[in-house]
Amino acid sequence: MASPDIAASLGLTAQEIDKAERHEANLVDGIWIFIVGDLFIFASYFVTYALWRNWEHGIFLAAQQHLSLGFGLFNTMALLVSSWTLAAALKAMRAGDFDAAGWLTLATMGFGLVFVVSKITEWSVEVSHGFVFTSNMFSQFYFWTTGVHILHVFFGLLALFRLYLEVKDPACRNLATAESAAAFWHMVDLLWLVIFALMYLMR
Amino acid sequence: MTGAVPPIPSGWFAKMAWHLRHNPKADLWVAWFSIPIAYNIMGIVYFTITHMMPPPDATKNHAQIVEFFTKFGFEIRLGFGIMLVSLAFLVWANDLIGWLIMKMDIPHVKAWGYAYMIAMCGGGFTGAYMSAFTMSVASMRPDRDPAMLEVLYDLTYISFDGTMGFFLFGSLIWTYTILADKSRLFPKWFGYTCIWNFTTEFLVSPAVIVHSGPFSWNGTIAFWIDTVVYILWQIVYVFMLYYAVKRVDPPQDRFRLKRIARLTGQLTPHPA
Repeated sequence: MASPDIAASLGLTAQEIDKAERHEANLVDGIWIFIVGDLFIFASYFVTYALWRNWEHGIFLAAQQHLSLGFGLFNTMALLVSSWTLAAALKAMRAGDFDAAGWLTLATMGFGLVFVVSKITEWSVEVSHGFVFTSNMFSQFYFWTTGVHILHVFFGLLALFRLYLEVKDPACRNLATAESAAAFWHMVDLLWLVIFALMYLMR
Repeated sequence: MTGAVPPIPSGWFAKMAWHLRHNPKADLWVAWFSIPIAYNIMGIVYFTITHMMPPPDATKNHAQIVEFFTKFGFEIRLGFGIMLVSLAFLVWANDLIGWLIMKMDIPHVKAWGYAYMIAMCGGGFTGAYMSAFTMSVASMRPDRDPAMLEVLYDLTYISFDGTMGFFLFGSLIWTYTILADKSRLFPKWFGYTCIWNFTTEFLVSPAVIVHSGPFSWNGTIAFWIDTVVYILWQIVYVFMLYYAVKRVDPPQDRFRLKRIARLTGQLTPHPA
C-alpha cells in the first residue's frame, strides 16, 4: 500500500488507492484452496467408482477389457512429459531465462494437446467397437470420469496459454501466475495417474 | 432539516431502521439479504414441503407416479405457490450480482454483467418456473391419463436438470470476471472455486441419458455429490457477496451522495 505522501505525489485518487489496497490484500493466489477442494471432489467420485466396482465386479472386469492399455500408457506418458517440461519452464523463469521458459511452456501445451487428440481418438475407437456411454456401468464411469478429466485439461491449457502470454510480455511477468498454472497442471496429471491406475491397470 | 444523523441504535429492529433510513448502501443490503432468504425458502420448499427433492426414482412406473401426485398433491401446490412468490427475491439477487460484476475492473464489464443476468434468468425459468408449473399442473388433477402424468413427471426433472447449462455459463462468467478483475472486488481463490461449480453443473448432463445408477437424476454423483458441492459453494458465495457489498463504493447518484454527505456531516442545512 502506498503511504499517503507517496500517494499524494503520484496524484492517486482515493478510489485508486483503495484498488491498490485490495490488490495487496489478496497476495495469496488461492489455487491451493481450489486444488484441495477439487481433489476431495474427485476422491468422492473415485470412492463411488470403487463401490460400484465392488457391487458389479464381473461386469466391470469384462468391460475393462475394452480399454486399450497402449492408449492409456501413451496418454500417461504425454502428461508426465508435459509436467516435466512445465517444471523446467518454471525453473527457467526463476533463473530469468524467459526465452527458454516460453518454449518450454509451449512444449507443455503441445503435450497437453497430444493428450487431448489421443484421448479423443481412443474414445472414437471404443465407440466404433460398440463400447458407448450406455453400454454398462463401467462404461458410464469411464466416459464420464475421463470426460471430466479432459475438461480439466482444457482449463489447464487455458491457464498455460495465459502463462505463455505473460512470459512473452516483460511488463506482465508474474511468478505467482506461473506457479498457480503449474500447480493446476500437476494436479491434472495426478488425477490422470489415479484414473489410469483405477480403470486401465486394476483388471 | 439539518445534516445531523443520529448514532446507530442498539436494538436489532432499530438498527435495521437506521440503516434503511441513513445507509447509502441500504438497497444493496436489502438485495443481499434477499439471497439467503430466497435460497432458504427454496430449500424448504424443495426438500420438505413438495417432496421434489431428493429426486424420486427416475424409473417409477405409471402407478407409482400417479400415487406420488395423489399423495403429495396439496403439498406440491402449496410449496410451489410459496416458491413462485419467493422467486421475486432472486430477481434482486441477480441484479445485485450483475451490478457487482459491472463494478469490476475488466474490459466489456457491462456485457459480462448483463450476460450473467441473462444466464440466471434462463436458469431460473427452466429450473424453478418450469418445474413448478409441471409439478403443480400434474398434482392439480392426479386423475388425468397416467401417461400425461408421466410426461409431466419426466418434464419436471429434466427441466430441473436443464438449468445446469445456464448455471454452467454463469459460473464461467464468475470465474473469468473474478480472476481477471484488477480491482479484486472478490478474492482470487473464490474465482477458482467457481470452477468447482462449473464442473458440477457440467456433470449433471448424463442424467438425461441414463435412468438408474450414480449418473441418473437421483444418483450419487449427478445429484448427491453435486448438491453437497453446490450448497457448500453457495454458502461461501453468500459470504463473498457480503464482503463485496461492504467493500464496493455505493452508486454515485444524488440520493446517495446526499446520504453520504449527511453521514460525514458535510450537508448544508436544507433551505426552508
